[in-house]
Amino acid sequence: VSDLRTHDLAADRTRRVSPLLAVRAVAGVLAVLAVCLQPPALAFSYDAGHYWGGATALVGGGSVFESGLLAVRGVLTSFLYLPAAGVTRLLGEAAAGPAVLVENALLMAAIGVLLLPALVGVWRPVTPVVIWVCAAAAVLLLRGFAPFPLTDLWAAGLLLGAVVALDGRGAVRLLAAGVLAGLAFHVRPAVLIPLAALVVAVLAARRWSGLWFVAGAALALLPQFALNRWRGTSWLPWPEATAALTQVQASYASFVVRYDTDTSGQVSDPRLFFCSPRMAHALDGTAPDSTGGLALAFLSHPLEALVLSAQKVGAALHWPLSTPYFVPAPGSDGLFALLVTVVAVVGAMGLVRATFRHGWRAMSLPQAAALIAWAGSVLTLATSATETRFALPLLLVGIAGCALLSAEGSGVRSSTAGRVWLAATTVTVAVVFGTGVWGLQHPVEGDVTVTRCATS
Amino acid sequence: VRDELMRTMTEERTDTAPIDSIARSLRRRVQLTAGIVVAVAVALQPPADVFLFDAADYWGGSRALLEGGDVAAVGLLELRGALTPLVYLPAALVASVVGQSAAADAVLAQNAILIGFIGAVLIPRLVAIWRPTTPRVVWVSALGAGLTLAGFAPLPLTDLWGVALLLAAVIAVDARWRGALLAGGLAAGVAINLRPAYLVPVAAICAVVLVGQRLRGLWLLVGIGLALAPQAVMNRIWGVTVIPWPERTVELSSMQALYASFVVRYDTYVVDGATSQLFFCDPALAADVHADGDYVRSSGELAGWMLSHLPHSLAFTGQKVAAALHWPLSTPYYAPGAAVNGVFAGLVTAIAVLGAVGLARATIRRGLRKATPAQVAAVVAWAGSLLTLLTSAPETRFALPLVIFGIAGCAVLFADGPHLPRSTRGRVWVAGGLVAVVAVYGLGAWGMAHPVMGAVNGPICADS
Repeated sequence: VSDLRTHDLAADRTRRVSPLLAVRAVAGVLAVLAVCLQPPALAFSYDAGHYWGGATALVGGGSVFESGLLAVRGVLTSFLYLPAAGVTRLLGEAAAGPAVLVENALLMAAIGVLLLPALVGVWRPVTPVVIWVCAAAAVLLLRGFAPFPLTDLWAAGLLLGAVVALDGRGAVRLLAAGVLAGLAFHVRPAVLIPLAALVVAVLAARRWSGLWFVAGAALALLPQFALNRWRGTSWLPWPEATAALTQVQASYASFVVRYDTDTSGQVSDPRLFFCSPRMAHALDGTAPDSTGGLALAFLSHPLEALVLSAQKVGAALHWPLSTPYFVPAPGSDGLFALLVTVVAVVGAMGLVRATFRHGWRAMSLPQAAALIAWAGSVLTLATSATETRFALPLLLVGIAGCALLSAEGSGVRSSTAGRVWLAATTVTVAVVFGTGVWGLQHPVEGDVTVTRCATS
Repeated sequence: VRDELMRTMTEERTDTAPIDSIARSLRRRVQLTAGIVVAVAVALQPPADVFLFDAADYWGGSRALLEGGDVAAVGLLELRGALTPLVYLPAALVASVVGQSAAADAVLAQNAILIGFIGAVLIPRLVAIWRPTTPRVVWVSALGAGLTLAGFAPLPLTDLWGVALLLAAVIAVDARWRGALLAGGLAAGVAINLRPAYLVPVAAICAVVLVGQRLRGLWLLVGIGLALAPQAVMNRIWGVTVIPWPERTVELSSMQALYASFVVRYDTYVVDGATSQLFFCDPALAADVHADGDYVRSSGELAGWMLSHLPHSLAFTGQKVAAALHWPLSTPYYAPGAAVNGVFAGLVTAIAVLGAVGLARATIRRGLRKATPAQVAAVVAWAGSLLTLLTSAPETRFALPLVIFGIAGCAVLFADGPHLPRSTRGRVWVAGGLVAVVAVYGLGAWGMAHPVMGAVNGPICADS
């Protein structure tokens, strides 16, 4: 009898596991196909050109440092598009666009059917509905990134990968989480705030074994450290000219709501700044040139800074259809911006509710880590010269939250708490969307200065 | 014992009623969700910058109806059906209220809703002719419609509306409610008015219904007659012809017949607003076309031409069908797209061919005699659409019915989940289907080996 039962159990287990695998496979293939059905990019410009240049220099020879602009970009950014660059080297220059498209489609499918469901798994068991919602939303919302060799999707994926890796016990997992978090920071230094908060949370929750996480992060930064020592330029584990970049960022961050790159071909200067004349007035002609100066500027004009920060977050979620770039398409842009805002806000509110439903003491480390990563990303948006693509972590967390809600139900019909939650979420969506629109009222084409902004 | 058995049986019978209604309400919810998801996904694309050629005519007609103006002249009604200006009336209404800058968005929204409706309602209802509709059928249909039809959404063309009406006519044959056949006839009549090419499949459906349902089938003809009445009335008012299609239809069809004798496919080439005609030629047949006027002018002559050029004309007709399924990503127009065009052509070909194989198997599985009238109507509508491709210089969008029936067939195939059939016979069908996909794809690529930009005639084509 016991034999029979174990046999049944085993059969039951395979039956329970294999449908999820089948769903992942089918959803993944469909996701790749759906992402690939768009025109590939004809040329890679600006940042995308540098990342691509680094990768092609790796396979084709030439100075990786020069073509990858490694003075300001992490050394591993040149490796992200190595597969696509390898294919292009084999098939010829014409294959560059399609190769990048396919590589990104695979990445998006992996995010949609593996990473995001795993993130939902931090709160509840993964079901086919979770996988389908994650995959469909990932395709629908991230599709625009696929033609370009950018690092934002990789960074957001690595950051959330670190969160997911914390779900479980053991030194290996902590080390892996640390490596992933370190890589995320390496690929996009803007991840610094969430990373620092994560380190604190892991150390607090796991005490001494939390050092494995720190060790992992350090390990991930080793290649950059080695490069810097080899060139003899710096003792720090980030690119040698990062400081210069930070200065520029701090200066713009003090009065610019959002920065876009206009690739419509209709403008002479592709730079498009949406700025805050109010804050520019308050700054009175001089923008800060360091992070400390930025903090001082924000603290000495708290009201203006608060409005500016809120506008930055709202505007960062106000994605045009052509995100990561800016090509105006009036009607569909509004629809897309609304969709992205709704997903990001509703999902976040859903996760917060799921976390605190049983009291905050019942919160697990990965749940806390996800919320910390989310809050850190919001803080980053509020304090930098934001671009739409910087909001990717918020959107990915939002998709996971929406998948959780669609699998679990929001309980809106059955409970008062559910109705209160719905009301609060609706108001938040309206406020965030409205703040975004408000922040985008003063576009300035070409380079912007405080004085130019103040008169816009 | 018998009493008890009877009692349980009656209990079971009453028990299934709520289960049926639960299943129905679940299906409705899935249909609503799928329809909205597909409509939103389709709407998330840049609207058109300008409306070109036919699209401009249809749109102009709708605007003229609302804002005054010579509808017949602006809508080019001597060539296009009298009902064509009505198709985009909702979008034109929105644009005239909100402002013409919203025109492209309004068209996109109207078409997105239609694609959601086709995917979540019409195709699943078509599938119901063969098997019960499940949530999976709805999702497969909606996804297929969204993926393949999204490119049509920004443009005010009549193809999507025509094919939706043709589907409605087929579905009406299966419907039980009174007046369904009359409604189906109306849909079929409007479909003919919007796209005269649907005359062939509609005539085939009529024949099936008249044979299968005798006198009751006349309702279908009544419906068609009613739907064509506006065209007849307008023709009388303009004093042009007595037959219920646009005045210059004959001219158009004789031009079609000429091109049909040597052109594999015709495309409108659109890149960054610059446009051109693009013909894919058959040089061997074109060499036989005499420039001095001795050429094919009617469907009858075309049939003679094809017969006199056997066996080459067989390959030529095969290429026509296959090339019409060889959709570039930018369908209904043509724009170069490295690699992605090939992938999209492969997807569309696979859907159309595998779906057709699936429907054929579902129809003849229990013997041809057991096929229902609606199944036969669907099959002849499909065959009629195929025949239309053969007798015209096809454009990719002419193959829309084949693609839609293909989606329905794929939904039938995948209704029970993606798995291989267990029987040998089933596996032979699968193998045959896959071979057919590869063959049709290859035939399409072969047929498109001789492109010519700009206007063509026999000699130009022969030199390509």
